[in-house]
Amino acid sequence: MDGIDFLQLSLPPIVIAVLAGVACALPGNFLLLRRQSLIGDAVSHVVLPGVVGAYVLTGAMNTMPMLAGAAVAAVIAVILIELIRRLGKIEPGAAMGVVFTTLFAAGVLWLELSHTSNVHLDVEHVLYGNLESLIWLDAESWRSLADPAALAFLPGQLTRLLYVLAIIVVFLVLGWRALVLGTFDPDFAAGIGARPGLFNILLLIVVALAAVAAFEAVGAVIVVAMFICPPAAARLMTNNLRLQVWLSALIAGIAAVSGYVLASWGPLWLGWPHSVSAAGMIAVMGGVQLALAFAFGRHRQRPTP
Amino acid sequence: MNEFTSNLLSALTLRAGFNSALVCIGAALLGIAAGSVGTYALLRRRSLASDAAGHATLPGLVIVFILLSWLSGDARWVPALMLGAACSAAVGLASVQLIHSRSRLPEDAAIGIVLSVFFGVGIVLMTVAQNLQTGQQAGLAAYLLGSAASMLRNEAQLIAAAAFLLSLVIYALRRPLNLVCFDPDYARVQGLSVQRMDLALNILLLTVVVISLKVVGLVLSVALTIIPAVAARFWTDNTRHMVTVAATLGGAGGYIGAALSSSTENLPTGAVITLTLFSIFLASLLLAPARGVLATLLRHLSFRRRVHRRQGLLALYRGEPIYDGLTLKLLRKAAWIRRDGVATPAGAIAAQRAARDEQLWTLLRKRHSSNKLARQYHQLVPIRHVLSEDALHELERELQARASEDQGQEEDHGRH
Amino acid sequence: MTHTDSAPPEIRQDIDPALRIDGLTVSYGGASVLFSVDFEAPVGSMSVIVGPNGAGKSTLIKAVLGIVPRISGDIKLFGLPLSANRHRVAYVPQRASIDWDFPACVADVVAMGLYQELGLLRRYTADHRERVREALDRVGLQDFAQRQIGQLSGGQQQRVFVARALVQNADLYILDEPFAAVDAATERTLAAVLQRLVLNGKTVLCVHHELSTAADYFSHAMLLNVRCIAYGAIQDVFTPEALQETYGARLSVEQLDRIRHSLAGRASPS
Repeated sequence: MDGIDFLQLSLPPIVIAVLAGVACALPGNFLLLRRQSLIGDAVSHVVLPGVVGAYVLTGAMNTMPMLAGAAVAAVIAVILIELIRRLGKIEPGAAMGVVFTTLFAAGVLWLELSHTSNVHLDVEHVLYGNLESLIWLDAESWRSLADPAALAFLPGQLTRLLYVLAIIVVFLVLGWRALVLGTFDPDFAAGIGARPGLFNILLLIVVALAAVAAFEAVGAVIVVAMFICPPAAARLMTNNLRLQVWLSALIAGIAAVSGYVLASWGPLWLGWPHSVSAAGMIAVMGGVQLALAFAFGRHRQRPTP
Repeated sequence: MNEFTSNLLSALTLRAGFNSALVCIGAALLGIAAGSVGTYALLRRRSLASDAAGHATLPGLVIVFILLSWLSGDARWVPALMLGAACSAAVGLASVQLIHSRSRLPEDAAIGIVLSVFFGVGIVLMTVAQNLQTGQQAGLAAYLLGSAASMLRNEAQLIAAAAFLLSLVIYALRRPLNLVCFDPDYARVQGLSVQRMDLALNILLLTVVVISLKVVGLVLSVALTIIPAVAARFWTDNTRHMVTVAATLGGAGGYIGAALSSSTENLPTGAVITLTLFSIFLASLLLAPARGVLATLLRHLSFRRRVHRRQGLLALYRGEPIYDGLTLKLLRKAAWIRRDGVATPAGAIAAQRAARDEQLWTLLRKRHSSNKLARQYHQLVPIRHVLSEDALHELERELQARASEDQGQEEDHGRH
Repeated sequence: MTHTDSAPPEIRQDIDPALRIDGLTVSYGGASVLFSVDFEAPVGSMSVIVGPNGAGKSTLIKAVLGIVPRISGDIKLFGLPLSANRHRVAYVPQRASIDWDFPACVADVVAMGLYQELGLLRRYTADHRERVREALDRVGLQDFAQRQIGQLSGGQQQRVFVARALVQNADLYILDEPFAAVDAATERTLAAVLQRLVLNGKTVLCVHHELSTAADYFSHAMLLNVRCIAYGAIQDVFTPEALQETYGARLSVEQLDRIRHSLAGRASPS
């Protein structure tokens, strides 16, 4: 394939996948340490009704309503989960299970009933995304990368991910100390005024934003792989939290690029003229890197006194 | 009566055709089995393991699908598909165990990893299958979110039969399962292998998930095992009762949900059944007398009033000033203090009674320490509700005797 | 252990107590965890809270610090509410509630104590690093600054937590079971640290896990079992009747003897 094909058809999906992977991996580190990895699973399912709602209410797939819808859905979900947990004295995992299956089912039904299948938002794509179709046909040459007129036609998912990634980076940089403190010792954090409750909610909102921005690319289930696999692999490789976060971003990037490349051209190299799901392959590559870390990582076992 | 409602009514009363009736019954049986197994899983804190199992079925399903279409052209032979699903789900559950025990990663991370990575593998394989052009891939998509409408008669029969058998197996194993879930240490002492029962539980969960694939789909199969069990929790604390309630709620949800789904078109069955189960859960959450929202709120408010009233009366008795707003309001409402904070005659009597109650309780607890008494004490139960008349009189006599003893000694060691 | 290398500092009665609790009630569901608890910790005292399991001791600390909500009650730190005086109190939680397999080293954890000064954005300077080093010195962990916390023994973990509190330069130190399951050397070191604090005019309040040894270290006490049975100077509070009432007549003769012994050792000047 020549350069223009690559620029129009492959570069945007690859960049989107990398941005999505990094946007999910960064907060995923804190979910992992708080034993809240499954909140990533829950949130990626509950953003569906938020997204459908935003579309139904505004008639289009615009950034702000979608992100707002996702944030609202996430907060409602968390309130419901807490309510169930406290009232019924149910363990958090089960409470999450009730809420996220229900909200996801509600989202699916709302989707079907509101006939949005013509806007790339049909049920199957909800599950595994639509990465290959996020193309940029307005790119005429490599010079288009510097041409604002052409750039205006980049897929909306790309700009959404840039916004969300910027928010996430700012949140982590500014809130780092409180996040680390609240993750390690929430009681002490509360005593010293570091507002662990507030940062819990902010982290959750950030996770919801990442989930909704990434889910158009890879769907609700594979987003979970992006939240968990790179941080888990990095965790097995180092005992330094800053290094872990950087590593997780790197691993996410590698999973995104290698996943897309292997999905699009791997079968061709093996003599088969079709490509396979890029989103699925990205999850697989995340799993492969995790498996390598599991087998060879320097810090894969718990330390002993 | 519009078309939807009449469709629904005939589906509910099993008059909408043999297929539809079969699906409803099958879904009901599935709900019963899933509700019971789900309760055990909830008690053993393994609810989300079934989420991992559900998503991990995908690779096996697709591999068998590809093999079948390659070998025989008919890729819908359900037993083989279920076997494939079961195998890959088993590998998934084993991987969760492996990841958690052989590394520093916690169990919730292991579940999320298996869930998403296995699903990713399955999706890749699905796109391979799509490109094989066998023209049957719609069959596969039905397994993602469930599709009662597209179920063939033999599939429905198989599911109903399998669900029924599973329910029998669960019933047969109910005693050891009850024991292990309720008190694992005691079970061990009785010679029951907790590990083996956990393994059995995993197998049962896996079986429920595999049977439910065509009905609710693999993404939402976890709803069947979790929602009825959590709903049952609001009705009772007793293990055996919980299982029965969960089975009933699951069966009802399955039945009604399947009926709803077959009276409309194109709505994924999994979603409809999930929402039906959730409605049942919501009703339990709000209204159940044991732990429902309404009941708890009323109890909390009533307790708060008792606390403030008691504290207020004790403060009156000791002649201490009262600042708390709610306390003052309650005391005024009962006509126990005047607007200026001075006790009324009725208030003075009530205060004396409250102080007396405290003293009697203190004396009683010195002589008998039992958990039940302690609980009642801390719930501010008046002592005359706890003791018989005679016992109460005797206690009062003893209090009198002690009081006259103490009169000689003025010194109160550090008490207030 | 009886220390008397110098006379114990005077307890001032004329100024606000370091901590004053009035009518504190905390409940979960329909039962109290704490009911109408009153307490005062005078400035410069070393106070202890003891009671059986489930008495609500940790909950009391958490309610004082605003970590759990309360149904009623008034709490004052040095005469002011918590929000005004939060910077004057340092908290050492139970170390069992932490997952120690966390990617941090000892110096990182101690530096967490500087949060009130550093906030989210201020730079961590060489001066702060020096204060962390000095706190580690005081607890005997000077060579452990870069050690991973997951590799620490129970006693070392406890010392790290105390160092984290020391670095705050607070006036009131509240510790939840600091001596539970630690080795003898750690117990000695930490006891000396706490006594030094009191000698310098600070106030210390501990939840202690073991009744028999409470009189060895503390000058004031509260007996707690959901309700406050008694509080005040330890000789006045640790009477056999009060102890039996708190523990529901579950104390052994040996325990009572041990307590009587340490009280006697405390009362007589050396």
